[in-house]
Amino acid sequence: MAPFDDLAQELTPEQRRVVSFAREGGASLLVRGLPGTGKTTALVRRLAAMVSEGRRPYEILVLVPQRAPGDRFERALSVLQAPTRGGAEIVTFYSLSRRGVALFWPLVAAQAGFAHPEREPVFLTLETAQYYMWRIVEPLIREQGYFNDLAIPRGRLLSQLIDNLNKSALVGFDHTDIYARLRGAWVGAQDRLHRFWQAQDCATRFRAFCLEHNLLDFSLTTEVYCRYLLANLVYRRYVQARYRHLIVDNLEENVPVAQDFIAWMLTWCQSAVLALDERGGHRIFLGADAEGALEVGQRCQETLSLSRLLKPTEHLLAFVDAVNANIGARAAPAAPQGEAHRATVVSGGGETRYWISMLRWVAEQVAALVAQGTAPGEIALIAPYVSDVMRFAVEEELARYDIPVHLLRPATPLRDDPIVRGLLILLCLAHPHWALEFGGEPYALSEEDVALALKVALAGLDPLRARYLALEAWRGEGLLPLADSAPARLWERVGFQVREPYETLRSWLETYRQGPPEPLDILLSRLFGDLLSRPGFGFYQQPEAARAYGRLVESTRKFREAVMSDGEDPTRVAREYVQLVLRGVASAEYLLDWPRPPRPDAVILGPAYAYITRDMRSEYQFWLDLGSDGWLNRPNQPLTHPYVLSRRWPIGRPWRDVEEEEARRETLARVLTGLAARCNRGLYLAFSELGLDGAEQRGRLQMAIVTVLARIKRYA
Amino acid sequence: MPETLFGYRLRRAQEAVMRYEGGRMAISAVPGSGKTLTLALLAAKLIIEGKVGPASEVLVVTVQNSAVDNISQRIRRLLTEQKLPPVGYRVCTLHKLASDILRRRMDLAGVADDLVIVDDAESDRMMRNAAEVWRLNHAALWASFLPVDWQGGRDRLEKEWLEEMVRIGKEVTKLCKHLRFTPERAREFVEAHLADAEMTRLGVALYDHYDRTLRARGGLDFDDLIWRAIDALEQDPSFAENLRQRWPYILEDEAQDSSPLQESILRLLCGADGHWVRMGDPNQAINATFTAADPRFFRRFLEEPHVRRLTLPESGRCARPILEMANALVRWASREHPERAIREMAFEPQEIIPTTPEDAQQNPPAEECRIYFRAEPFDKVDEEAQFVARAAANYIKRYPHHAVAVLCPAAWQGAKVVEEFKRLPKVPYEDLLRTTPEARNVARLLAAACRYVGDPTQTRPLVALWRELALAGLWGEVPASRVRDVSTILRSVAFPEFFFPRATLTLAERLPENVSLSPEDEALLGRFTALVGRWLRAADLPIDQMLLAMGQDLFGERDEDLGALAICHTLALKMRTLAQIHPEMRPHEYASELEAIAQNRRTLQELALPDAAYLTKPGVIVVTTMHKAKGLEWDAVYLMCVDSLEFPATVDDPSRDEPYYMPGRAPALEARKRLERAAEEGVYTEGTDEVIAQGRLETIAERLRLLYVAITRARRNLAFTWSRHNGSRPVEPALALSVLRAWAETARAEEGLWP
Repeated sequence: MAPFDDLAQELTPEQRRVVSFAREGGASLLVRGLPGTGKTTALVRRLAAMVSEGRRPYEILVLVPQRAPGDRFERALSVLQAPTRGGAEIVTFYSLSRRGVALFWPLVAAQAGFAHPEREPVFLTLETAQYYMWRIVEPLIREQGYFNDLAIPRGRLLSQLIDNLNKSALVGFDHTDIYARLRGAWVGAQDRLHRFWQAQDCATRFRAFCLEHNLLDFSLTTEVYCRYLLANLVYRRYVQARYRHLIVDNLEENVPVAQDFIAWMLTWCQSAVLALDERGGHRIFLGADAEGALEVGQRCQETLSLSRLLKPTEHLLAFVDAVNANIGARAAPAAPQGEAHRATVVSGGGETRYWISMLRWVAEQVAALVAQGTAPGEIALIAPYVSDVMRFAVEEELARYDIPVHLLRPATPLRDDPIVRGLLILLCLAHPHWALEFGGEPYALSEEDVALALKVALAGLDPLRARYLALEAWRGEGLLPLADSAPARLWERVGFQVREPYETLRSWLETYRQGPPEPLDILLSRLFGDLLSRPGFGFYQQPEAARAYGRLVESTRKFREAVMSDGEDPTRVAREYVQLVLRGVASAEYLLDWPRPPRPDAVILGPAYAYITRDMRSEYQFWLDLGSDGWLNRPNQPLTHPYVLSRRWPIGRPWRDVEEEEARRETLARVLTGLAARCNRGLYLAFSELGLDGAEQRGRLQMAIVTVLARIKRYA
Repeated sequence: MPETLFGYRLRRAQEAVMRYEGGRMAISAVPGSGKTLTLALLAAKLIIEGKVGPASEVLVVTVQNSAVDNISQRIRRLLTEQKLPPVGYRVCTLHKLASDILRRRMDLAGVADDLVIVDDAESDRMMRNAAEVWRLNHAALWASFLPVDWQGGRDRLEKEWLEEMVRIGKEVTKLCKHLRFTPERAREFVEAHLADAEMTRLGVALYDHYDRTLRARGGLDFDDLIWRAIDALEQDPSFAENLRQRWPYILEDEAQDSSPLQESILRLLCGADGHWVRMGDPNQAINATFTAADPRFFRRFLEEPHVRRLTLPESGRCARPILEMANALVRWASREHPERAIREMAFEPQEIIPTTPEDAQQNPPAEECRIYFRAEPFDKVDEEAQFVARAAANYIKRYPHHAVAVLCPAAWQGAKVVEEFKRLPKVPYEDLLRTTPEARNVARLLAAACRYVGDPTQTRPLVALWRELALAGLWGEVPASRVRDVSTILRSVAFPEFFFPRATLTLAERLPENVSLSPEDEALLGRFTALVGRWLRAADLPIDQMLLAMGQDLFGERDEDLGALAICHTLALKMRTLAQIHPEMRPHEYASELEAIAQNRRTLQELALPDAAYLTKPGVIVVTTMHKAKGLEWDAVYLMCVDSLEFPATVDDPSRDEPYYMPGRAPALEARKRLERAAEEGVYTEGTDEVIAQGRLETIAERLRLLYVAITRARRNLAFTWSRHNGSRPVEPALALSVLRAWAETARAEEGLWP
């Protein structure tokens, strides 16, 4: 869906009402409806209309739950011939908080308890937060046996501990209440409670450390903003003077403290329009509060329901309603007018025994659709979880038909991206004295590593050619000059066009090694500008790759900024960073998400959750691996709890398996509805009798779908 | 007239099983009595009669994966024949069940979804490491266990003591996990009650170290997996309750092999008055000393009130004389065994009954049956192996359609038979001592692929990969000449242009000019280059994902390759564990790991023979251990080394648990038994001799059952041999062997059992 469509699209009378809804006098409107009923389009048009009328964009606050959907507003504004210049504020609550805290730091720093209010604050990314958390947790594990009854890898442990702090800030309870809340819901033996107490202790220590060193992680930023800045009269007056109009999209995906903020704005702003999908709330793991959203929405003076759906979508929703009922979800039908038996549902079940045959079937169907004129970008392949082998197999199968794949990948560790890995190895080549350690063992670069780095850095290298080059170029330290000395056959094999770029890269690195070491982000930026973005190198006209490069540069910069303020040795910091990433700590994407705009020529492959939270939409959807239990399993974690650490859960109420089971069912129902509502035409169901391992699959969703299909067939 | 159910003619005893309505039932089934079919029929019957609601399932739990597939296919077929959708049942192994339970409630279980399951090989490695660390830290104490003035080689002595320590560590760890003792709890317990039990204390120290290492890596071993699942169920009663509603009926296969932990998990799932059918044969419980499973647990269940007891006594597997001999062994052990305690411990006094004349499965006729006892013992196992190998080779020549097995108590003895087969011309044999040829083939293919991907500029691994693939049968029969021709071509091509041409070129255009291709060569080469190109692109994936991708290419789509796919999955998981524990490993190192399996230097303990795609084949002689033979059958079976060391009769017989440098002691056994007696029965003060005696009684009983299992593998022909030396130790014939031989002579003469 092209973003500019928002301005071109013909509006329904309801949408026009949203656009023309009053601009003055404290008017407020709640717009409700399923995805696809045109809520965002209406909001975008309202924004465009207000700016076109000559209102200062500066006065308009557009709140979105995450950066990706904000794009639509920004693009609409950018093509508008508006009389006033300057952009509207299209932000997430976190960026609003962060900017507020940065700007008004002197106002609140002392009050919030920072030890050095006179110094600048340092904002942490998830990586740097994990870095500091590990420094706190590691001695506790080693010396005091913390978390010794848990079997979880280090990255997971850290992210759960940090998650607890984030929940406390986003929900708005004190971070010292984490223990009380988790304990209150625990139904098991009392002797297990110490793990929650330990999690609390880590949170408390981490917070104290942050206050001591002027570090602001996600949670502390949010908390300082909500608790101190928003309570500060000076800041309140500033906000009230600045923002006169409020536009909120996906209210249900936003967090409680953001909803509080919105409720407060409703009491004084000139106009407010809030859009809400009552079937949403998918980001519950990031603190979304759908019920809270409804409560805030009901404070609006008027409510408008958008209900116009495409007919095929409506029938698909009816089909999903039937599946949800079979699973035992309680939600009322999303599309009571739809007819399940009229839904375009193509089932590949029954005939497919093998996992790989399932993917071949999918590839065939996709190819057929494309041959009939559907753009690949209008087709989405959706699975509960996309493993590497699934991605690889799908890419390979579709490559037979020359159809590329666009992967939606939430929260991948930076290391998992081969481009990032290749760049890190380049950094190692630039710093031969680093002496990296890996799991306690010294880590020496191998020929494979160097081949990967060369493949990433130089254009025109496949895995084989890169390896040939590495074989000659690397003998244990630094890249060797090959211009004169290399055997003639080398360039014949590798390609003469690689020769010059290689020499340039080598001498560039060599020159760098002669001088003093630079911070990694600066080094990387220079390398990109000087070499890698030019013809003959790996990033020339490769926007996808450049995006990964950008991620890495930003990550290194933030790491340096956060850690260097601590007065650390820069060489050590750089080395620590590379080790941290190579060990696979989760990336900053988790919270800041890096949306990649999908390409129209590539089929989308992604987990259901990522597809929905990025608010994608397709003509055709394929649901893969329907026999897998992954559709129903929630990633419940031992040290944190999205439901218990929410406003909906009273302290002391036990969380039993009854609640767990219900949460699983309702989440699945919400996901299925969310998917069907984002499908314009037809749904393809792909199952295989046997899983990837050759073992029989008997997931609950598959059973439900098989049963419903059987019933529909009879009915039809 | 016998009753039929869904077209199957039922035996009388099976009819009784099918009358099951609910509650607890134990079925004690003899070897070859059709346990799997009976369970499948019962499951189907419960579903068809509507005993389970729409959101519920009959849960069938098995030990082996192959049994899962077998039962599940049967139920599916039965339901489809009744025009019902194949829903309402779930068949899985106990490990799969436990890991699914964990994955559902990771919060209760305290795990993460990418948990590392450490397999037996890795767990061995960790225990060895623990023993070495302990030795370093307690050098003086360590040495104090050894004789001061030892005349033989000190190095060897120390090495063996270290190995013994590993055993101590493993046994105590296993026991602690079954007792659900954390290392802290174990230490407290031992300090409070067993301060004088030095071996137990040592074992607990090793357990502690092992457990720390495991946890530092976020790993769980197989016992932890089940322990955590039980723990999760106990933490939240409503969790167990929900699962109970989902699985109102539990049918359990091979119940005699369930350890207390495994039993507890099913007990929790079943609830106080749930429906639970346990099928097993207490007389075939032979995994006790390995898995802490003990027949007494299943027997205890048999004795519980409200448990309905049934037997499946009929078996059509063996010819009557063999069946009678197995019965004679049970009778003798239960009535006349010189150790009185054994009379109670070894066997349930239940007899195998031949099938009735109208039965579908008829016992092979007695006339075709031969039981052979070697009159004169051999001096050494080498000679015995030579004899057995020749005898089996001659047998298969005479009966080329028979399936034959040579079964040994220990793998090293079988290895000698394999050596002998290698020397003999053209004997069709398979070495199943460590793994199956199928598993080795899969490992070899994957190893060759990893080898090349790890070093893609080299010609040799590429040609080796080509040969492996060409000979693997994936592309039908490839004649040797073609394998050679293509190898030559591969040696002459420039790899980059060949696999990743810069321009769009046909395969022929990518070859050197002087090379011409036949259409057949071109087709094969085309498939090969496509695969290799793909795998080179897959080289960036994590090792397990890369192997799985290769596995899908090789075995993804054919029913006959399903076993290979499962093996590939096991290998991928094994490599994943290695990768998580040793993140610095490289493709060529994984290749070496896989080669060790391919070359039969390493075992795949996690795969039972049928799970490793083994099927009994006529015309082939199989060499394996008696343990691995469980569940299988052959026309002719040779049983080797039936001597007093392998099958001891009294507690004073020489025993493997007694190291030669520590006369009168049995370190691993003492360590385990002291703790077991104290924790389970509250007996804290016992002399070393008493616990050793008790431990040995258990061994005697188990080895008798092993012999029983080995005997009942034979359909028609059975031969026993033994040697005067088992390794370097002088031994006697097993007492049971002499008893059976005497029985056979009487039976032959007096009862005319067979000609």
